[in-house]
Amino acid sequence: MYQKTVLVPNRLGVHARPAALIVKKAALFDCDITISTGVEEVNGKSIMGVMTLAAGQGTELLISASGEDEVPAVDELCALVASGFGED
Amino acid sequence: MFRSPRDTTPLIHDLTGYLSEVFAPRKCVHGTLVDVFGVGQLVTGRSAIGKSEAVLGLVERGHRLIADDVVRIRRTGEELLGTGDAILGSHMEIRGLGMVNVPVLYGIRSVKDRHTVDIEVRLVDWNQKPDFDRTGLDRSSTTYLGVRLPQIILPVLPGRNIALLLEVAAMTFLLERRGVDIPAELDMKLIERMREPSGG
Repeated sequence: MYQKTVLVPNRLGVHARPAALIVKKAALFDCDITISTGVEEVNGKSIMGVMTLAAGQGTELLISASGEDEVPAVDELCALVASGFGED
Repeated sequence: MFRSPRDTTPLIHDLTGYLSEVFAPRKCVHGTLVDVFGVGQLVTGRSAIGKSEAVLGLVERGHRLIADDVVRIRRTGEELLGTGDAILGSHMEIRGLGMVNVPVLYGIRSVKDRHTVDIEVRLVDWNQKPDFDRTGLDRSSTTYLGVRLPQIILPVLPGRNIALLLEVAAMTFLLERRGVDIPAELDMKLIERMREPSGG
């Protein structure tokens, strides 16, 4: 298993559009991906799951993956979150 | 330490209930919980295998959605109770359509806040596990929060009507709970027939 934490930088947090970007990216990988806020852990390929986290600005997300492509999966997902999803 | 103006017996009664609720073991499961003929079916399986579509088929047939994709399970005694997220619980994501709101489309009777989790149906790819239960004689089970749950492994193939199969799974569960075991009965009839003198 490979995991990393990342802060949610954008003002609106992980709302529907960023959640869609996350699960789209996650779906490109074969490994199992989970995202956790510490309170709750959800499947990183499920949009309903990612939205359930209700991760607002400044929330620390722990992204974990296990499987063959776990390293690029976690790295790319962290980069996506850190980019702020193209939002302010 | 705290004091209460209430009488001891009802206070202890309420406190016990409250504390066991607060400290109940809980877990978040990636799956969909639906009430089919009163049977709480937890439908699980990998992302995009068709859980939501199958459950939408069940809702269309009049069954009730409790939670899609994120099921919060907590243990109360020997039972598992499932609920969904307060805001997202009645929504489903259908690939290609996006988010749909189930009670808005199908009416308030199509959703439910909570239900026991009675059986798990795990959807798997047809080629993933070649040794499916072909008779129903050997039921498998799984464990959530220390509670044993009957489990059915259902292979998914294009053209299979999963909603229909989930309905049959629920009815089979109800029959078994009443002591009716169809595969075992069939096997007994078959063995009896083979015992009869072949006549000649």
